[in-house]
Amino acid sequence: MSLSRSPLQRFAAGTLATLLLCGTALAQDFSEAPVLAEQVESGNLPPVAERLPADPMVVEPFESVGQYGGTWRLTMNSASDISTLVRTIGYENLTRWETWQPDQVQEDIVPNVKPNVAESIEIEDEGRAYVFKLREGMKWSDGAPFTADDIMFWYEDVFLNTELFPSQPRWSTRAGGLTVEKIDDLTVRFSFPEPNGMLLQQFAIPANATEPNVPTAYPRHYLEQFHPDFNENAESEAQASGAQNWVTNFHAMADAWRNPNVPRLNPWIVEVGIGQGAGTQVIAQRNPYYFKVDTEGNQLPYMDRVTVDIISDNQVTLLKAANGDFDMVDSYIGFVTTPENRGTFFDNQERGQYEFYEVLPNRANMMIISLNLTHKDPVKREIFNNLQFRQALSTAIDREEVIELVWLGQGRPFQTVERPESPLFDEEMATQFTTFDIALANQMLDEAGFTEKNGEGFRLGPDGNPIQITMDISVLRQPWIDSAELIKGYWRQVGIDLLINTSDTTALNQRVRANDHDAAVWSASGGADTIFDPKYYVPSSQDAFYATTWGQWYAGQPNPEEPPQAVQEQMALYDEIFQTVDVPRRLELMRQIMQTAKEQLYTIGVMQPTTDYGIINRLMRNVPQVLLASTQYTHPGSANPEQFYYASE
Amino acid sequence: MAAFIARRFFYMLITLVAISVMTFVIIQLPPGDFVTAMVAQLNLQGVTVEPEAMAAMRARYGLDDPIYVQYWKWISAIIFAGDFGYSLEWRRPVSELLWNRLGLTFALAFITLLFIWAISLPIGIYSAVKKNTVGDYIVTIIGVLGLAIPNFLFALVLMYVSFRYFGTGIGGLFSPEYENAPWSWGKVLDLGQHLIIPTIVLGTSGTAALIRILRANLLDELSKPYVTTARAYGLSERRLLLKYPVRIALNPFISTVGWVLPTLVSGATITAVVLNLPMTGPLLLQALISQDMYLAGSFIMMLSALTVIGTLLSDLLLAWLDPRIRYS
Repeated sequence: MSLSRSPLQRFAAGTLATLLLCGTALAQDFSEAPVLAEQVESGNLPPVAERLPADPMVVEPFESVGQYGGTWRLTMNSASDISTLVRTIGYENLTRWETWQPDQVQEDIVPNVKPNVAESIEIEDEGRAYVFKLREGMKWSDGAPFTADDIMFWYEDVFLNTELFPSQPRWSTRAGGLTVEKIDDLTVRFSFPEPNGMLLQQFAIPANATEPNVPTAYPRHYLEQFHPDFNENAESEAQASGAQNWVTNFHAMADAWRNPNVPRLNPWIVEVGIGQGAGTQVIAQRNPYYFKVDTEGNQLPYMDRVTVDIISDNQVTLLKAANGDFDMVDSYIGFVTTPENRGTFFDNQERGQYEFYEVLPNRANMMIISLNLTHKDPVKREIFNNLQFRQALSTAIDREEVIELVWLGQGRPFQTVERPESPLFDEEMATQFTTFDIALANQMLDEAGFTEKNGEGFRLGPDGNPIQITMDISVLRQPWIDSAELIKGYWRQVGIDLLINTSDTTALNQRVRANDHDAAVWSASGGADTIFDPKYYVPSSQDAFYATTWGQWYAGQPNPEEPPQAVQEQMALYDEIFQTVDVPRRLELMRQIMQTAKEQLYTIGVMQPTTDYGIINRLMRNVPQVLLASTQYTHPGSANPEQFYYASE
Repeated sequence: MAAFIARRFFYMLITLVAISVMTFVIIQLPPGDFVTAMVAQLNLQGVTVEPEAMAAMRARYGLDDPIYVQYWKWISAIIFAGDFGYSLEWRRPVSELLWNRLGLTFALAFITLLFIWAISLPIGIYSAVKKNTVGDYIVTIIGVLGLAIPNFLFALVLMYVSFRYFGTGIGGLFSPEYENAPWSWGKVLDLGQHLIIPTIVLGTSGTAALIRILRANLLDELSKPYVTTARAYGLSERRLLLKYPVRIALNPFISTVGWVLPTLVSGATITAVVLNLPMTGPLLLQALISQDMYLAGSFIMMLSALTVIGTLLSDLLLAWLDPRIRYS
């Protein structure tokens, strides 16, 4: 596949392939899970052919056509951990990510996107308009038809309703605001005044929030009763049911994870929601109206049920996982497959009846140190903004030793950089100033002008005081604190005094947002996350710890400060990316942004993890051996969990 | 007496008001609010929340209001409507969440109490009868060890042991298959199996105190003349012991039951977190972490109210028993 093919052509090709597959599916009979067949016989459900759309989406099983039955046992870590549910059982958007595999040639910065709930998509006018065609006869999980009216309900009565959503999401405002029009019962057009180059990728991102604000999450026929435009008593009924007002009530009723009554398009539908029943488990059952089939016309999903235990203590999760109580656990599901737990999992493979799989974590760096370039104190600001000072501090870190001692050798001594699998990877950027050399670092600091030292051997700043850096670290990850202790020792050797200030994540965020920090530590994600949130390479939000107030300027947040010219140019390039449909052009723009980040060494990266691992029930099939995981690239949703199944022993 | 009661009620009200204000202030003390805590959690998973969305959420939950307005909204709903508010994290009424878990909390406390008695009664009697023997020292040391080992550590160790050697369900009160199933023999057995570890962990920490109380009381009784007399009549040693001295020694034992129960309910928090038990403690802890202020606040209020009412009752009882108290 050549690089010059436009996304439009790729979409056309993808659609054609889908249509061809649908043609083959149409020619045969559909079959369904035995539990549903019983219900059809007893008259509780219409026959499978009537429940499926006229041309159901065909999912090609990863290895083989599966068999029905079984429960998928998962775990989440708190009532707020919606992401786990969305990424495993709730990933049905208009578009979806293709299952990324290591041998796949990736032209784009992000993995490819294909239509999902939408049957086909046409891009018009250089990305100013998108026409989504829905499937004929497609239904919500309660059997009511899913049509363009549902999308119009989302647009007119939810998206545009300023009480429900006082502001519109960035993906629409960036292109000047969204207009949706209904063309016919199955077709809608999304249009923008400016080109919206990344809309389809945007719609492939999992809707992680409780209030998702995406076109496929608001069934009109059910939600109308809670909306004052359709029910004049909506406000009083909401208050009678204990909610504060109709807005809270509407969001609660549209919440698929807490309200089992709201119809969905997902493969499994929540039966016991968060906080219901004993309050310790979420249960979902198969959706009899799910719109996908396998290549032999079997309606998906294969597995009957999903249970998700809510466990807040990681040690409990670890023991239960090692005991084989869960069917899939990794660094994104259950959050316990850390390097130090690998041994425990390895030793208990037999008893737990699980196997290992590889997870490419999409993490650009596990630990980045951000010196605050926008410091309130002019002296500290001057010191930190000295590029040679940052380069010297980076040179004065023995990354090999840190990786060996703290991360058990499972990482590469890299700066903050994309992963080698990404087209944006830059070897030079990855390794610059990563060779540990105390003599060189000392020399660089001398050259940078910090030659004076006090009696204790600490270098003096321009104001004559010793240079002391307080580093804020969240207690969330112990390795950060352990590494910082080592770094404190290295920096002592070059005359820089490091103080470590550990705190809770919320407190850290508060401090950083108020621009009260000297330096802070966090990790960096890469790949699909980078394109939507490039804060490690350009200060695009207040979470860019190296330049909080510049980020606040770009994102229109409180106490902003106009950034220097070079940074503003980066921001302009980033804006352009979102207006570009052309993949090579986007890549080029992103490279320019990275170039500045490389020259400026905004952050000091310590280590890029090699690979993570996950454990999986060894009877589970159709799961790729290598999975890509990130926040924006839906894991494991992109691998189509609806076609996972259990082999009989 | 009426004046005394009225005065007591008045103090009680003032105490409750003071507690409610302090509760609310303390919950607001950590930096940020529910929305910042939630966004921090989302950030952790790589999700960036747009500032406009954060502002909207704050406005909707009334987090922008000054603290006294928020306090008034909360307290007035409790006083006038018995409405403890809405948990921001669980998105359910607070009262619903609380009652859900109080049942299990009390059940576990009760079972643990029985366990404590079953252990400390025989040990107490034994160590009093065999005073200052090797056997006395051994059983007392075992009792004190239970008190000395931190609960959470003991819980982790027991959990590991049960994982390693017994392969029984770990954490929680039910195996996944029984979690939301209707009650059946299987479910009861499953529950029993899961209760073993928490009962041992919570129970051992309470036995030492009761062993000491029983031992001391019994020693007092054993030296009394009626024991010698009974022995002279040739009563069997077992009968002699259980018939009178133990019964009398049990008296203060029973009067301290009231102190044991609240300690169990509140002291179980860390154990419950470690063992992932669906009890009130972890819910409160999580509410404090996520700054789910109405849930945390109502929780602390309820516990405080129970304590204050308990104190009032015991004051009244004492006043009835001992007239001097009324005038002091």
